[in-house]
Amino acid sequence: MNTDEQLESVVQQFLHAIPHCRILGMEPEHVTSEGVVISMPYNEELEANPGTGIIHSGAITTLMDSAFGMSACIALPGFETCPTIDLRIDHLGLPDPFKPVRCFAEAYRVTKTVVFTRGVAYQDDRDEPFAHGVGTFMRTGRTLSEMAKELAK
Amino acid sequence: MKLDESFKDVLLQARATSDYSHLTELLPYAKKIGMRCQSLGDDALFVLPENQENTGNPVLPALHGGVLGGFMEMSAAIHLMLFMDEPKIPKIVDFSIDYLRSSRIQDVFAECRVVRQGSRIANVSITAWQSRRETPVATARGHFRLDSQ
Repeated sequence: MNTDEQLESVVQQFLHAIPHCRILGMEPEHVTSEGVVISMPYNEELEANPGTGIIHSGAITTLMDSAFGMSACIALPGFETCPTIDLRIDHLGLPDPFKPVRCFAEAYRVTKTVVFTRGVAYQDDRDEPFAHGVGTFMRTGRTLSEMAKELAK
Repeated sequence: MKLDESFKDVLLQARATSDYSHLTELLPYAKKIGMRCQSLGDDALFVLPENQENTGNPVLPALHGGVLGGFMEMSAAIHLMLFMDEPKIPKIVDFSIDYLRSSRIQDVFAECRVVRQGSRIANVSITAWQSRRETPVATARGHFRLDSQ
């Protein structure tokens, strides 16, 4: 059994190894075997319309896909990397302008071939999300450490 | 969200001239991922050029699935702005994407089809491909609100 500290360190290394997640400034904020919270800072380059301070829904999709993928990965023995099969996001409202956003994600069912995940995007309060999503991921049997070895080559 | 006056001018001009090249420069997120829009006959073709910054898996290597989703979502919104009877800013209600293949670090193309446009809601289907249109990397569907501004 991995401790929450070990899980957080795995998620951090994984996130930092993904160029686009690094560019958007994603960081793990809270990681346990129950799920992950990933934060993403406000950045004017991500705005939908210039000057509004509101992050475009596409960047929210990227945050949620990443957080869902992390929750799938840490739910599997040996931390398998899982490509997304599908993703569905409901935009319940707009995020508040000029503020960081976060995504809570959990893997709620793991089968031999797929991992089912769900989660919400929010700012201050997880009970007041501005987006809700579900994502399905494919198991590959390839672990993160194998991926890290290939990267080091 | 208000339709910014300078953006509205560019949008109206793009609709009048079928030159869509300046639209994405005015939308920060579109600019960030590097996407572009061009006319293709009476239609629009969206392009996400090869960009190492959009990498999601450095080992394969593959494009980040979220960026592909964001690109397709933005394509659908711009498509509506260009082809609706009256130019409005569509607001996303929900978005669903199916990933069919791993997308490589090379250009991605997308085209959109308005399946249904009611007075309040539009349903748009988006297909994205890389090497051949017949082998899409992803298909997506989005609902947008079309309330008056």
